[in-house]
This record gives sequence, C-alpha cells and structure tokens, in this order.
Amino acid sequence: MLDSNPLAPNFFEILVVFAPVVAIICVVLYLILRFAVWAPKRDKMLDAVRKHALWTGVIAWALSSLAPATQAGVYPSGQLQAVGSPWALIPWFAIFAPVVAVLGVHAIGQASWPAPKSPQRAAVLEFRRARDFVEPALGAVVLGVFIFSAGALVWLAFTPGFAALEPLSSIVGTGWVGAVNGRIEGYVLAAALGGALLVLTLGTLLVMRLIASRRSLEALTAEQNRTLRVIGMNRLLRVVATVASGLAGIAGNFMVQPMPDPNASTMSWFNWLGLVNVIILIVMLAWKPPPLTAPGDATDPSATASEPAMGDGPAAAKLGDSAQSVILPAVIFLVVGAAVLLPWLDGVALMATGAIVLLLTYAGTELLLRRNYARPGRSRHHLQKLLPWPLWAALILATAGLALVLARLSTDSAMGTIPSSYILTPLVYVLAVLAVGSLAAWTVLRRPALNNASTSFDALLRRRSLFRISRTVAAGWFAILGGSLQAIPYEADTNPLAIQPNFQAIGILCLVIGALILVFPMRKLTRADFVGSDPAAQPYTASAGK
Amino acid sequence: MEARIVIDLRTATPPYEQIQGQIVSLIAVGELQAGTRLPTVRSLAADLGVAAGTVARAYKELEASGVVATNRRQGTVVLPQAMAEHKENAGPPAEVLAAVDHLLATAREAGIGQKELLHLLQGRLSQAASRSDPPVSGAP
Repeated sequence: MLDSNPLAPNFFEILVVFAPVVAIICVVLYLILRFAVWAPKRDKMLDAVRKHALWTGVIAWALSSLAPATQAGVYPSGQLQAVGSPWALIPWFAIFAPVVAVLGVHAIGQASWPAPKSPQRAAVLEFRRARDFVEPALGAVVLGVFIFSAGALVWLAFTPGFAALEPLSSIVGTGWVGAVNGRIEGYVLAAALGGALLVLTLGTLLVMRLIASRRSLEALTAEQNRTLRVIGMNRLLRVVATVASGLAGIAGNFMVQPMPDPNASTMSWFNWLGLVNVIILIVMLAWKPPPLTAPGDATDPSATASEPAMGDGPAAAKLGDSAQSVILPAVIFLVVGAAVLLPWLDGVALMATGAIVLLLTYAGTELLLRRNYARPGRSRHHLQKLLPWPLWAALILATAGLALVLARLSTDSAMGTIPSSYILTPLVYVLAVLAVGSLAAWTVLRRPALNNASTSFDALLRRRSLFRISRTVAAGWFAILGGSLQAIPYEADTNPLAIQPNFQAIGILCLVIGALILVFPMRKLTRADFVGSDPAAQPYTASAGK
Repeated sequence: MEARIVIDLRTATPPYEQIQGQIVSLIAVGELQAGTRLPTVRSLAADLGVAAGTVARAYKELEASGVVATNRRQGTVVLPQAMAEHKENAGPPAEVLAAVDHLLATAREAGIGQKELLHLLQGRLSQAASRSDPPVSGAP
C-alpha cells in the first residue's frame, strides 16, 4: 500500500485556493440574476425593496471591522529587524480592505436595483443633488467624525517611535521582566491611515453621487423613491462614520503605547480614542433610517395629533421625548471635555457631571410638562410597575459593584497604599447622582395628572420618564464604577498560575455597559397608547382639587 | 406638481424625439418654468432605462433650438427666452388646454387607454389633413 504524499495539499488548503474563485463566480451569478432575470412581483415589490436596502447595510456593516489592524504600527521585539523597513510592518490589507468593502457593497447595492423592463418608461424631471437626501443632523455628525479622525491622524504624524524592549534575564528596578512592544515612527502609520481615510472620503462622495443619480424604481411613487435614497444615504453615512472613527481608534492605540521603562511597576494605558470609537459605533447603530411605507400607512402616531380622542397626549409625549435629544450633545461634550480637561480633572468627574446634567434636564422637562399640560391639584393614579426588570438588574449590579470596589479601595487606603480621596471622591459622585436622580423621580411622581389625556397614558408617560431617569442613574453609576476600577492599585503576581485580575479591562467593560445603558431603547408609542383604555378625563371633574 | 415624461419604446418615434418633444410641451404648458434645472443626462437615462447618448442627443437638440442652455456649474436649465417664445408664438390658448383636459377626462371615464387615445387622435388629425383643413398642420 502506498503512503500518502506528505506534500499533497489537504482539504483546507484546497478550500483556501479555490475560495476566491468560488466567491467571484457567486458575485457574477448574483449580478446576472439581478440584472437579467430577477424582477420581484409587483405586489411584493415594496417588501423586496426594503429587504434589499436592509441587507446592503447589514453586509457593509459586517465587512467594516478594522479589528485586525488594531495593533498597527506596534511591533514585538526583533520584528523590525526581521522585516527591515517600518513600511513593511503596516497591515495594508487589514486597513484598506474594510474601506473598499464598505464602499463596494454600497455601490453594488445602489447599482443593482432592477432596471425598468416595460416598453413604457416614466421619469420625473427633477434635478437630484446628493445633499438633498442627507439627514441634516446625521450629515453634521458624520462630517464632525471625519474632521475629528483627520485631526487625530495629524496628531499621530508627529508621534515619535521607540524601539521594543528585549525580555530581561534578571529582575531590574522594581521588577519589570517581560518584553515590551516598540512602535514605528508616527508619520508612517499616519500616511497609511490617512490614505485609507482619503479613499474613504472620496469613495463616500462618489457613492453619495451614485445614490442621487441612480435610477428611480418605476414601481414606487416619487416620495417612496426619495425615501429610499434617504435610507441608502443614512446606511452609507453611518457605516463610513464608524470606519473613520475606527481609523482614529487605531491611531489612539498607537499613541498611548507606553515608552519602555525598566523601572516602571505597571505598563497600563487607556485608549481614549478607542472609547470615542465605541461611542460613535453605538450612536450610529442606534441612528435608524426613516421607514419606507406604502401610501396610506400611518407610522407616526403623533402625526395625527389633531384627533380629539388623543387629547394632549401627542404634544406631552413629544415634549418628554425632546429631552432625549440632550444625550448626544452631552456625550460629545464629555468626549471633548475629557480631552481638554483631563490634565486637571479626572474622567469620572466629567462622567458624573454629564449624568447629573442629564438628570436635571429630565427634571426640568417634567416641570415644563406640569406647567403646560397638568393643572396643580389634579389627582394622580398609583403606578403599578415602575421600571422594567432589566433596569432594576442594572441598578442592583451597579450598586453591588460599587460596594465591592469601594470596600477594596478602603482596605488599600487603610494600608496606606492609596490616599483616602480615592474612596471619598467616587462616593460623593455616586451619592450626587443618586440625589439628583431621586429629585428628578420625585418631580415625576408628584406631578399632577395631565388635564386632557387618558389616565393610562398619563401613567405610561410617568413610567417613560422614570425609565429615562433610572437609565441615566444606572449608566452614571457604571461609569463611576469603571473609573474607580482604574484606580485600584495592582501588582502582577509573579506566580504564572495565579489568577491575574485585569481591573483595567473590567473598568473599560463597565464604561461600555454604562454607555449601552444610556441609550437603552424605549418602546415606541402607538396610537392605542394615546387613546388609552379609558376616555380622557375631563379637565374639571369632581376629583379636581383634591 | 412634478413634471413627468413618459416614453414608449414600441412607437416608431425615436426615444430622443419623444424626450425632446415632451420637454418642449411641458415648457409650453408652464409646468417647466424658466430657470428650472433639468436632471443630469446620466440620471434621466437611468430613470428611463435608455442609453445616456439618447438623453444627451435630446438635450443637444433642445439646446440647438434655444430651449435650454447647458453650463458646467448649473447643468441644463430652461431658458427664459424659450418661455417668452412659447407665450408669443403659439402658447396654446387656455380654451385649447381646457379642451385637451376635457378629452383626457372623458377618455379616462370611458376606459380608453393612452395608446388607444393617441390612435384616435392620430386618425382624426389624418382625416383633417386629408380634408385640408387650414388650421391643423403637420403631425403630432
């Protein structure tokens, strides 16, 4: 019996060789089907269009990850000598592939709408500009992200490089024995990331032009075609903003790498630009495009505000929801504030201040609601279920975490390793957030019932306000917890088998959880909510004044 | 109100002539005002599912007859002279436009399609031409 050839390729090697060929065949087949064969049935056209728009966005999002390039420009000991040039250390494919993939998927998605097939063709004589289909707020934020990323790359260009540190054979100084990564000159990485940002910018402008100039779908109305272009623009801008901020995040990781110092006891760092990237990612994930509706569909219940059965409901709900618009400016303020004020003020103070400002805004909104839509003295109904269980869980977890961390810090303080301010400061922040949150909740619970709305809607509005308040308190506490975890002094155990708790990583996780809780979504109001299960209470009933 | 054009690839009239004729008609009835920016060649061609050269030729003919002007900054715009010319020259009188609207409404009520209506109109015009009625000249 013959032995198998040890040099013969195995199954996976064959798969890797043929995978690109199969992928190209799939793309060609898809394009043939799309252009020559596929045409959805007219009655299912709207559904097919919605799915096409959605999947274009989802596929582009799935391909937008810059994770393989996170450590770009950072190298372990000996690697630079092995490759000879810093340019050879740049992961070109990992940096440029997501940029090209995102733009390519959106370009194919826009260019592959079905062509008109009937001999009779109609067109609206309209001059379409790309900016007509950009939502103003989204456009401004995305522009800001691009400018911010470009600024970070300029900063990166002036960052000096340093050589990697060889692993030491004996303990030096206070005990650092491991190897430390080096980094190349900043301008090299800045050139690579800048090139990717330039391609991303120009490509985005071209795809935006394509979205404006591509064919209209004959099965849709002019308004639906316009909405479809707005949806395409929304999905494109959201994903390119995350890629642009991801490029800044890579720059941030490069810039915060600590200089090798044999006398340093810890070599920790925090990538603030990476945190900005996570925030932008969350904001962009939450920024929904407008819905593509069939003519006659009612999507916005508040749009039918004139219906008498709804009373003041839509207006009051709109006022309550308007407080949410503070979140994004508050986040931007925090990021900018953190960058400017960090040398004088710690990050925890900024985050606690942000949470307090948000809570005061909610309390102010409630007072405005009381002044405009509720007459003093009107009776209230007792609320049955104040908060959903995930928020209770978040509050309990944050409390438990804070208790553990403060207990640990007090032990360290008693041993004299940290000053007592390390415990007092976060404790004051926690209590301040709790006090302002309680004040805001009190304004909600003490507010008289709305004059002209059903009692069930009034209760729903209160629960929504309490939801926002508790969400902000939980997010603030998680942020303080994350910041406090960074302050815990920790020396690595020399025993390699010992458990090495990474407080830095747990702290960052807490910050991310806090950011996620802050944008925890609320259910949208429906028409049934406004009308309520009972008729609208009359402004002057027997209960008034009690 | 949005200005729309409809072309039919089955008719003998070339698509560029249909585009050109309908734009002139829309200017004549006042639906396209002076200064209105027409869509780019590429986007109109994409909407109609025809070659870009077809729309480019229609625009070129319109430009040659002084109806529109093309420049780098604004693209293709309807000229004020074209409006004035139409008002002075032919600008269909209001009663004619009203009669056409009435014809369209009657045809819709009777369930007569666009193509059939065009054939009827074409037939009547041919009859009128054969009787040499002076006011009607040329084919539509």
